Amino acid sequence: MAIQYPFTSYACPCSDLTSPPPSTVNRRTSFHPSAIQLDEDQTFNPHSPRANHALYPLDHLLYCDECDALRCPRCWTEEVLYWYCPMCLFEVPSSAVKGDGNRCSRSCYTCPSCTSQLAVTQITGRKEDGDATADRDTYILQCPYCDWSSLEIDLQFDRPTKITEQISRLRKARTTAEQEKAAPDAKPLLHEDAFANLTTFYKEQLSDTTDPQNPYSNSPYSSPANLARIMSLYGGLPYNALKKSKEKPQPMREALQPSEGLRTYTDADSDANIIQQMQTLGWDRTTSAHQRNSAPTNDDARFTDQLWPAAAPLCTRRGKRCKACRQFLTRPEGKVGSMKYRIRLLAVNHIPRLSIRPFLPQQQTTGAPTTNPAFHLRAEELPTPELLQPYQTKQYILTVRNPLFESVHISLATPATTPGKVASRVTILCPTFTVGPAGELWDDALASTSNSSTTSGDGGRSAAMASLTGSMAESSMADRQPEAGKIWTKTRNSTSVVMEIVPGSVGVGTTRIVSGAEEHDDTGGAGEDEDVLEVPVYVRAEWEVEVKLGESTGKRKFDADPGAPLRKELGYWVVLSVGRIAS
Amino acid sequence: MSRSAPASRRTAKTEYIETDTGNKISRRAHIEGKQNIMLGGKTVIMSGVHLRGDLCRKPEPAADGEKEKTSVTAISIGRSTIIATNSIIRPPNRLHKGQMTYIPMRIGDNVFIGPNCHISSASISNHVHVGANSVLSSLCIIKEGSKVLPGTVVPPNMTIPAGRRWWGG
Repeated sequence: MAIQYPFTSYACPCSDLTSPPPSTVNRRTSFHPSAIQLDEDQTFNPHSPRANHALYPLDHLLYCDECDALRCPRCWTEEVLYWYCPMCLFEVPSSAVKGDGNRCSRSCYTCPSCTSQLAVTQITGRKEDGDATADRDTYILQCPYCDWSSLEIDLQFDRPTKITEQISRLRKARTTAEQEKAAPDAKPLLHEDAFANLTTFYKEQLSDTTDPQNPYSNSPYSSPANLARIMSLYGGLPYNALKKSKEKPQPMREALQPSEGLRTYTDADSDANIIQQMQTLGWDRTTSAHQRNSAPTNDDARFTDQLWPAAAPLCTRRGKRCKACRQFLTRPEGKVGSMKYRIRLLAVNHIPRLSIRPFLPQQQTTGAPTTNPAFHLRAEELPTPELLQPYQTKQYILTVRNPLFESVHISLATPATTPGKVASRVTILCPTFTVGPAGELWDDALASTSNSSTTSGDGGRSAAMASLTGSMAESSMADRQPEAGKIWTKTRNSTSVVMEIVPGSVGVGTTRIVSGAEEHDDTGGAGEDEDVLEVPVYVRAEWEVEVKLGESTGKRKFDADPGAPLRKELGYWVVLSVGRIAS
Repeated sequence: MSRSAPASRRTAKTEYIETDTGNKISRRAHIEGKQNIMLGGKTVIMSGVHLRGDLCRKPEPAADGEKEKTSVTAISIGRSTIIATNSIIRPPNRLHKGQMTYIPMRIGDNVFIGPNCHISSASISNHVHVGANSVLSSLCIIKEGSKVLPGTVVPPNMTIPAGRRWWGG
């Protein structure tokens, strides 16, 4: 999917590129003079190789209201709330997940060949089996997409229910038969059996080695039962157990026999055989890596006729916690299929949002077609990206929208020339202004109708009115010129200012528009995406919060006067990706 | 009970017919069996869309003297749903007791179906986004808030859980 310019992305403060991580001592305060000072000293370089890892669209970010900071996927931890099967949508308790593994134990199976969902299909008994079985129904698993069916591995079921049970029974019967057929001395162990043997072996080993006089009586690993529980949680040998076993006179040994889970190379299926089979069956009948990994039963399958239906892997629903304060940032409801959240601290609702669009006075009141390719309605109508011409001044409207219920004072700072190889000149005509508070949706609608002087270009109601009546506002808008130090438009919770950009030239060795531009490196040649005009903007938002008396005083440590409103300040880097510069 | 008749046609001929409840149906949409199609209101059916309302379960043959029931819903579409150009909405069919029967299909509220899609799913819940050129095969179930990316083929009988993004095919 092509990127649609212009767009904005937000830098998470966890990156070294923006600022040091929020200090743990003072993180509950909102005012960090030193941190902000530091931020302002260094410019965020969106062309730095690491910048991509710090920049996110605002919708992807969360906001921790304890730490008063943005949180990106690198600064939250995920926590599994529950497991569920994506096919039958039943919740699987965590004990069952630990016991039976992360696959659905109901009748949910996926096709081993194309991964779509298998359906239980009824087939009537064959005539040639004789009259006795003629009217007996059997059931098979069939893929409605690629027509694979369990008949390909000669698998039929007596009942349409309890498929898992029937499959495991049939598989056991078949594998034991195969094993008996094979040479008795070279019995290859099945994966499941080998794993089961290994776990029992290691559990025995652990309980043997940890039983006598435990030196860690106080530790949570004191009892073997506890240890075994933790072992099974993490599925490996804990460090302590390994260390302890080294200290013991009789160290833990590894599995030595097949009964203990040892699995050695056997030439049961000789290579020559396999190669010959591959030659005769061809590429299509050999399994792909994806098919082999679809289920543990298919690990050894070399040919498609050895593939067994794969039980559906479970899905999880996860909550997100802030890494610094362990607070839940998002927490979905604990019900499968519910998309509601108990806690959801989205950055969109907590920090002022910047958006940029080209300054086109004549098109302001007409509703621009949606530029989001996800919502295009006709196949032929995808707009082609426009290239920016070097050294041609273009004006843009920068809109700051305030999601907070308080009026916010915004200061924007941007370097005069953009960092990176292509130095473009940027001027924000009005860098400091105030954005009104957000309110209910109804307030917005009422305000825009009553206040006719606002000339919002958002396709709002006033715009619709203006286009209907052909009002004076529109004609005056066309003549109006952007002025330095004046805001362009203002609605109740958004303010727009004009920004002038002179794109630099992409060519190598050309004269720079600004003499003082630094040479970052002399590797020569514009790197990938160096021709994208990206403007870093430092946004500082200041607002005052009325502290209610009932609120806990823990947050107001640094507030001298308990009655005074709490002053909040937030600074963050925003990168405006304006477009590609023509070379 | 679709109200495809214009409630009030002020202008001469527009692209869309608007019903009482605010549904907008393109004149260039191909709608079959409109008595079996239910629209929730404020729904947009764009040009070139095929709505196969005629593919419904045949009503039981009426007893003597009784009036035959005709109101069988084949497609029900919720509020504020958009069906973009050239999509085909076709109720799924399956073999039931040796007979091919059509199963009524339900599309929820605030669903977006992109252009050139082929939809035969059993149900699409609310707030689902289906990208352009996708194929939703018969009897698949799309749960609430999930997103099918453009060009995806959803195999038959597949269930897409709530809030998932789905692609490939």
